[in-house]
Order: sequence, then C-alpha cells, then structure tokens
Amino acid sequence: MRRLLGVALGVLTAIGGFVDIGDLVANAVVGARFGLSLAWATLAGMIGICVFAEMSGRVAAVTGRATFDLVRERLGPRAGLANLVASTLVTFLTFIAEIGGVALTVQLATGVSHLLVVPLVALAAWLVMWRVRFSVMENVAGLLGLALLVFAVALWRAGPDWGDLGRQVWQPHVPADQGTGTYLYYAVALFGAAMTPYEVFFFSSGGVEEKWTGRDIATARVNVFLGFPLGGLLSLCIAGCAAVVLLPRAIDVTTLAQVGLPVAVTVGAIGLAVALVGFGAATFGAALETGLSCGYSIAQYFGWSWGKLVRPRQAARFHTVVLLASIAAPLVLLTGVDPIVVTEYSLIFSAVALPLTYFPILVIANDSDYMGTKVNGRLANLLGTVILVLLIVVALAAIPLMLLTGAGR
Amino acid sequence: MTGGTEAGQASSPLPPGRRLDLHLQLLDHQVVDQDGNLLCKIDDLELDLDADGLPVVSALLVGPLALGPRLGGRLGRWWAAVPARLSPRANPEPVRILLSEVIDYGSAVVVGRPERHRPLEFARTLAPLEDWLVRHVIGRIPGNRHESE
Amino acid sequence: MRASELIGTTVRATDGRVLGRIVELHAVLDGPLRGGLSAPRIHEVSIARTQIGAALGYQHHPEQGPWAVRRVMGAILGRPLRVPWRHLRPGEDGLVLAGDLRSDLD
Repeated sequence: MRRLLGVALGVLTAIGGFVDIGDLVANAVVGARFGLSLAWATLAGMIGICVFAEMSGRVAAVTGRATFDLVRERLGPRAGLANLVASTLVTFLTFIAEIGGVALTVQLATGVSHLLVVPLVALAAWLVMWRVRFSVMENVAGLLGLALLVFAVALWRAGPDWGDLGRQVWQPHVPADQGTGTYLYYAVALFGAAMTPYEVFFFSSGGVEEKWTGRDIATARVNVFLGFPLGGLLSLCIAGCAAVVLLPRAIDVTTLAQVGLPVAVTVGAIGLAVALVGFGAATFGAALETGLSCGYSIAQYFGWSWGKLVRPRQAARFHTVVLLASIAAPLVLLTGVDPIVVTEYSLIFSAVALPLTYFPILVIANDSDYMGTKVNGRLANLLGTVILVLLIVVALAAIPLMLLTGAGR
Repeated sequence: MTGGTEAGQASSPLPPGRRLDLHLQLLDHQVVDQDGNLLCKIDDLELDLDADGLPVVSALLVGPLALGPRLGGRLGRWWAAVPARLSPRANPEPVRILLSEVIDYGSAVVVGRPERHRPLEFARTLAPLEDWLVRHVIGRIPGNRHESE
Repeated sequence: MRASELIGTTVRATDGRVLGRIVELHAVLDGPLRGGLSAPRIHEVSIARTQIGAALGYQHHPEQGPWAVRRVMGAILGRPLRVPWRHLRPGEDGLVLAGDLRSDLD
C-alpha cells in the first residue's frame, strides 16, 4: 500500500511538474493562433521526453551516475565542454524565464509590479535550493502544480465542438491566415518546450540523489510513462482553452494574464485563482529545477561533489554556481526585459541544443560496460534514433526559422 | 574487448594481468574516495619510461593545468594559463594523485585517503578553488554545515 | 610525458605515409607495485584515421548502439590499427612505425 502511494505520488508530481513557463506560454500562444493544429508537435515532443527520460533514469539507476557525469567520459573533454557550455547557457536562460514567470504570477495575483518581486523570488528560490530537502521540494511543487488541471475543467466548461477540435489534431494544416514559416517556427518552439534539456539533467541527477538502483527502474518508468503523457495532455488543454476561447476572438497571447484568460471566462474568478496557484507552483518548481541543473551540469563535467545530500561546505563549487545563477538571473530580469520574450527565446535555444543533449544519452544507454544487461532494447533504440533524427532537423531549422519569421511575428 | 583489429598485425599476445585501455577507461573518469564521495575527474596521466622502454603510468593528473593541454588549441592554453598566473609558484604543476593512493580501477577510480586528511577534506587539497570557496563564500553562509533536512 | 601528448599524435610509416593518429593506449597492470596494485604499463597502441568517436569507444565496441549510429561510426573511423609500443620511434613530426607489419608475426 505504501509502495502504491509512493508510485501515485511520483505520477502526480510528474504531471504537475511537467508544465513550466515554457509550456504555458508556448501552448497558449499556439492555441490562440493555430488552434490545435500543432498538437502533433506537443505530442511528438512528449513521446520524445518519455523515451529519453526513461533512458536517462535507467542509466542513473544502473550506473549510479547522472547524465552529465557520463557525457564527458563518452564524448571526451572537448566535445563534452562544448556540450556543457551550450546546455548550461540554455538552462540558465530557462532559469531566468522561470523566475520571471513566478514574478509575473505574483504580479497577477497581487498587482505588485513584477520587477519589485523578481529579487524576492530569486532569494526564495535560492533559499529552497540551499536548505530544503529534495523530495519535499519536488512533492510540494508537483502537487500544487496539479492546480493547472483547472484548464481541463475550463476546456470542458467551454463546451467546444469536440469533433472540430479532434479534426484539428488529427488532420493538421496551416491555418489560412498564418504563414507556413510561422507554423513551423512554433512547432520548433513546442519541441523546445516539451524536451527542454534541464528535464533530463534534473531527472537523472534526482535519481542519483535518491540512490536509485535497478529495482527503482520500474517505478521510474511508471512515473515517466504515466505522468509525462498526462502532463502532455494538460499542455494540450492549455492550448485547447486558448483555441476555443481566444482564437475566435482573435486575441493573441502576449502576457501571462492572457494565458489564464480562458479560465477566467469559463470558470470565473475562483478558476483564475486556482490557475494562478498552478502557474506559481509550476514555474517556481521549474525555477528550482533549472537553478540546480545549472549546478549539476557544471559540477558533473568537472567531477565536483554536488547535490543536497552532502553538506554545502562539502560541495562548495556546486553551491557557488547555484548561488551565482540565483544572483545573475534577477539582474537580467531587472533590465526590464519582458519575461515572456525571454521564455520564447529560451525555447528556441533549447531546440537548438536538443541533439547535443540527447545523443550522448542514447549512446550511454547502449553501452554494455555501463549498463550490463539493462542496455537499450530494439524499441528504445528505434524510437530513440527516430526522435534524434527529428531533433537534428528541429535544431537545424530553429535559428533560420527564427530569423525568417522574425521570431514568430 | 579488443575489437576492430586488422589481420596481419603483431600477434605476440599481451602479458598476463588486467587490461586497461587508458583513453576509454581512465581518462575523464571520475575519482571517488572509499566512502563514495566525488573528488575530481582524471584530466591527464603522467607517464614514465621504464627499463624495458615501455611507458608506465606514474600519477593521475588533475585540475586546469592538466585539462588545458587536452582541450588543445588556444582555449587549452588559456585554460592552463589563468590558474598558472594565479599560482604563487614559478613553474606551477598540475595536481598529482600518486598511483600508490589508487585502490581500484572501476568505472570510477577509487582512491584511498591519505591518513593525514580527514574525510571529505581530501577534495579540498585536490582543488584549491574548493578550499577557497569554503573559506570565503560558502563557509560564511548559515546552514553550510548541515545537509538539506 | 603525459598521455595527452601521445593520444592524437600522428603516426607515419617508414616511407612517410600517414597511417593515422593514436586513439588508444592499451595497458596491462603489470608494472611496479604501487600501494597494492600494479601500475598500468602501455604495451600497444591503436591508430585510427580520425579522432572522432574515439572516446565513445566505437573502435572497442563496434557492435554497440543503435544500428544507424554504428554504421555512421564504422564509416568514419575505419578499422583501427593495433601495434606494439616498441615498434614506434620518434619521428620529425609525430611518431614513426618502424618495421614491416608482416614481419612481426612471431
């Protein structure tokens, strides 16, 4: 029974933790402009993260080593360093976006300008990363993030034409008033949102912190294969709400308030309050994950001690990185840059970094020296290779599309 | 383990003893202490020629002065130059872990802690940066002595 | 001498033709005893056309990994040459593999 509760907690946390500021913004923006005709990108990204999260979780359970730890061993110091720099920059950019997202949520809830809130959010995030236990952090943020289920409620209450929505999903096409370039640009953004690199760094580092062994693989798989897809459906609900409520009114999403507007319209003020709790939990949780992941990737490349299970004075370099990130991120936001814009750029650069992040995982998961009998089977390799090819296409297309479409205008 | 060799190569067999491919199994691998604490990565290896003319590994080399040459090019030279300039010594050398301290070669190399160091402080002797940060930054923030509760 | 000075060094045949670069140092733990374990001693090296993928270990585990990656790696790396250390001599620019390969079959 206790084990069942543990598994349930893991799944719920995965659902609530799946969505971050990138998913919120990308899905709402896309829903308001393209309806559900880009659902295939969200679904494909969701399959991708499931496949690779399972691999990196399995690697962590069998080898006791996290992803970045092994990247340098397998790619060598030069390629590993290039990978590190790219991944850390993207993760740091995402961290800035998440802090901004929390600040915007507080602004929506209290009316206080987000600029005043940013330093407090960063301080709070750093304090949690410094002191709070890993599992507590994850569980609280994940469970509160379930408040985002209000988007599913809102979608149902909006009484949409389900047949029409279904057609948009399964017969996707570029809407008449949008360009193909913009359509593809947002497909790239959705991939970047679903498969942001920090997700696997954090997942595998967490597995190492929690000392997973071979016996934990099954639990990790349930979390991944049940939790992530449900989280993906939640993303689609956010897009669906925008599609049903905003698209017919030609309202574009450029602020966090507009992301929550469909909920306010169909469920009322209570619904919006619940949505704000969800926004706050999801983005704050993701801020913790990205902040720690900046430290994880650098520490793991250099072989430093890291993590929350050792005393901070025994992982000084790791904690210094996290501290520096927590200081630098609010400074960037205090320049007045719009956090939504930062989010959109973080997604595109995530998309560019995707093949670099996931290729080593595919290689390591196949290495019988590390994995013993738990190497990838044919299905994992087939899916992994197909997704990796797709990611290479996405990565190559990202910057050109961004330039061509003026970042989606 | 010895795949990919061509026909017609020297066929004199390797002597008995455990085999170790230095690039694949030693370089860039993690070094841990006996309690499993992470210490550093092996950035390079020091080799001496023995009486038979064969190179023997004499020490594990750690730190930016060791990693710089492996990164190569201008980046590598800069990587080694910065800590060299910060070092008080005239001809700075990379940090060395003597082979006599190695206990096991696994996917991570296990190193025994020399008697004079208390546990978890060994890492600070390997990395001056860690030591400096504990003294001046992390060590000054409240709560640094406790694991996350 | 450091391992980094050996790995990546160009090796030529006696006629000057480039054979490749050293990608691996094959050691055996048969050196002097150091604190309980024998030191690794390099007996052979592997020479390959290119460095790419060397740390991935593809020349050691050509059968690992997804089919597509194996094919690509096989094409890039070619088949590495494995030679005894004592057959290498210092050359003008890197190392020289002395001695005819075939004559080494003891």
